Amino acid sequence: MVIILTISLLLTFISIPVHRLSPNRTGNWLSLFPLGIFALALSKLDHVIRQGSIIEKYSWISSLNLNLTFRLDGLSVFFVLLISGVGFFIFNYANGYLWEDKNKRLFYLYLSLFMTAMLGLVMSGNLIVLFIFWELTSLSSYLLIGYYHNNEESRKSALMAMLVTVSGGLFMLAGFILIGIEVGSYELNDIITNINVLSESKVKPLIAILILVGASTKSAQFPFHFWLPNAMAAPAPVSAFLHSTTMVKAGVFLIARLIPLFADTGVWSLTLIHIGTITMVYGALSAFLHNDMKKVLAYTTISALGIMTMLLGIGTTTSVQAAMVFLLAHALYKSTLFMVTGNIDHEAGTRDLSALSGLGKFMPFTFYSSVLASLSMAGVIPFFGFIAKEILYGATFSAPFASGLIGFLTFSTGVIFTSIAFEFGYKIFTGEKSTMPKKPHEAPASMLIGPIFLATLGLVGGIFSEQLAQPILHHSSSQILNIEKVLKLGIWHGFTLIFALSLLTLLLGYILYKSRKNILTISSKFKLTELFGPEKIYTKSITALLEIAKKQTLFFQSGNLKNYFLVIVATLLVLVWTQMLYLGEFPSLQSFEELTRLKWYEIIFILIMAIGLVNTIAAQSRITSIVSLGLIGYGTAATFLYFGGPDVAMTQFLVETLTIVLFVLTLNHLPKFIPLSRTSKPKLLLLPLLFGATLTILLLWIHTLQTPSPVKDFYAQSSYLLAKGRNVVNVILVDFRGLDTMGEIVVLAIASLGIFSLLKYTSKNT
Amino acid sequence: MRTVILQTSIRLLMPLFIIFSLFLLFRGHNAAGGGFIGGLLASIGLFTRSMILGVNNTIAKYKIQPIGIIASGLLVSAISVISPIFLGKPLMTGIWFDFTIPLIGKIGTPLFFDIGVYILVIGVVSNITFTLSKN
Repeated sequence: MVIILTISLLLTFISIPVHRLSPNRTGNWLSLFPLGIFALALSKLDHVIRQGSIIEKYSWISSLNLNLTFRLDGLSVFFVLLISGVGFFIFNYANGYLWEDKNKRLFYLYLSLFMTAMLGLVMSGNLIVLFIFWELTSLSSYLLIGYYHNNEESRKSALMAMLVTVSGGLFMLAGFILIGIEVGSYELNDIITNINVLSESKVKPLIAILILVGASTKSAQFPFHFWLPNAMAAPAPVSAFLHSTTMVKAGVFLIARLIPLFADTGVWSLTLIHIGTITMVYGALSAFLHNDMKKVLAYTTISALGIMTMLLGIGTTTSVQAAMVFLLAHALYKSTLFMVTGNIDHEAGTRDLSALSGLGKFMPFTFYSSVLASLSMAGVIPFFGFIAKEILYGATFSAPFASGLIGFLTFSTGVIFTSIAFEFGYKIFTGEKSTMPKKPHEAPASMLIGPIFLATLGLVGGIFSEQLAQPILHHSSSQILNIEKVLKLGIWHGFTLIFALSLLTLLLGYILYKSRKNILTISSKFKLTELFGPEKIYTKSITALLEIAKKQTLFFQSGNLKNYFLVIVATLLVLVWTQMLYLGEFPSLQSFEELTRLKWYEIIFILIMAIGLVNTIAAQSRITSIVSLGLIGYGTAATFLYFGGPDVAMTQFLVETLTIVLFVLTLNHLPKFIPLSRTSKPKLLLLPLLFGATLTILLLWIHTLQTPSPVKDFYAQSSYLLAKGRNVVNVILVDFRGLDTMGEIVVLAIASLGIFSLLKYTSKNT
Repeated sequence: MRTVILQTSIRLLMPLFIIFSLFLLFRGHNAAGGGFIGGLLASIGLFTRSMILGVNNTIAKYKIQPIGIIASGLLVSAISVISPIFLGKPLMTGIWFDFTIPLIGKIGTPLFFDIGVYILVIGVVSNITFTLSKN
């Protein structure tokens, strides 16, 4: 569905012009785009449900058999609706949240870029295309987490998130390439139809593991979860969008997408269940032990992602359906709670759970949305969260193995979720008003639409689950399983064991909430939150890497121009002579016969250059030395001219001129000039002399060898026929090897920016 | 450097520098020249002018923003690289129009690519020389 991507890309391009036209309402205007995408996807929904997926294919790199394939099927349409629907509210929310921010135009740019990448990711029908969008989401997430770039913590967290997710993405790419090698295509359709080829492959378990590493880093699974709590340095709309509802679910999406391929691989489901369960329990426990509202939400998100991973790993029909239902429920309540936290942080100045109470009177609408979202999180009848919890318990307790253990752990997680829901929906809003850094008041309307609507949807969606959520969830889970399986949603299933457990969750959750303060006092003595972490491994390896980089830089980059020259010249000499000794071939005396055939004008050029050389060495001031050096350059250029290289000669003339100019400009910055005659190191002359002699011999030798050059003839013949130009040099530059030139000019541009900033900084410092 | 003779002559020479550099740029496809050489020549002209009449004077006269020039050069080249895609051909395919323009010759995407190089080189050289001479 290229049209959806085009709309989103257009949004990226116009975000800055729109900001210029309407600086205070940018977010409101831009939110119309995700709304349009939502409407478009909704209009296609019927088609997808009735007639199957829509696939669009464009040729991209035909020589590599790569296509830009996009597909809108049951799974991707669900994600597109989720991304654009939540995206609409996030753009509006950002409008209020960043009201006074001066750089917000960049924020909208990054956010639109992210949305484009995310939409592309879920609609990709080709693994390589999927990978590109996957890494694009990491990149835009880096920009968004580091949005407050003046803050060192933000920058560090942004880098951490990017390094972890991008390196995971590389593992995934390796897995994709292996699939490509085995199956011979990167098209999702081809791979699924040729599933036998993959099933017979010996490397299938390896592929499964590689892809799971990618999915785990993105979806913050243990032990790669640590970047997510740190990513909370981002502004609230980013946390509500990327780090709870969309980007972190990309890993879950990928797993769901590939279930038809790997469901029969033991490693796949075992790894998923283990990672998922550990992540679920670890996330819930950590959430319970924290007091920063954003950290608590981040850890519950990690836990929820663990639940989804685990469910997809179990792989039964019910569990896959449960994963999709829970994903939707989680998206609704978690984005609301993140926006609620943003409101409180924005208007009360703190987000410390222990320091907040009695906010309800001041922030009635925020209170309303938080209560609704918390009730859904706790799983109270008739909220959508309740339905999700019922089907979740049902799926885990009927898991094909270890169902008791998995079920019990899920139940315990549910209890912790409930106790946290009490904090968010009850504790901070009721009771006496505590002291806060700011005088609390209600957030502006744009920051309320999102939470109110999404929280209410959690209630309405629960009551009318059969009409609202069932069709789409039914189709997305059928898409994952690759077979039609009926999904029936409803509130009332009679007095079953599951229903009793659900009620017990609420009761135990309340008890846990009541005793949370005491537990925290005890646990704080043990410093449990700082105890252990893969984060330390990350920090240590980054520090080590920087240390090594510093050492090797100091070793190789002495900063002394003389040393650089010595190293370059010596290396070349060693290489040339070893090769000659190794081959046992040496230039014959015959080579020197060439020298006897010099023309009179060639002798004149040589004389000019020799005078220049002597002058350069003997000069008593730097400026004389530089100008004499220029003489050598001009002499070389003139030689080129006589040997039929006018382009090279012209370039050489101009570059020589520029070099002299640049030298003159930097003259004042250079250290004191010491004439060569006065240095006490004549032995330094030895190496240059040897170098010059070697090159001379080598050039003469090459001249006698006369190896045929098919490339030269090809260019000479096809320059005019194929590229319509008679100047072969230029045709090579702009046409035959145009890609090289493109790369070179990019390097030039970057180098020039580097020089610019270096010069600016040094002039400021001195 | 600020002699009257130099100051007057550079004012007269500047248009020549620019015209000659454009000449080199456009003849490049069939004879010695091209975007890189043309760009170098134009930027040497600009630099000579700024040595004689002052950097700020030159910047004000030609309204030069080196980084902007670099960016537009890259943009022109990139567009000429990408545009064949819209005709269903691979990246960087040279597409030529049938007609010719007097003095310039045939028009095609490689020419625009070279124009991009020309603009970029002017930007890069003036960026470096202007920053250096301001120090």
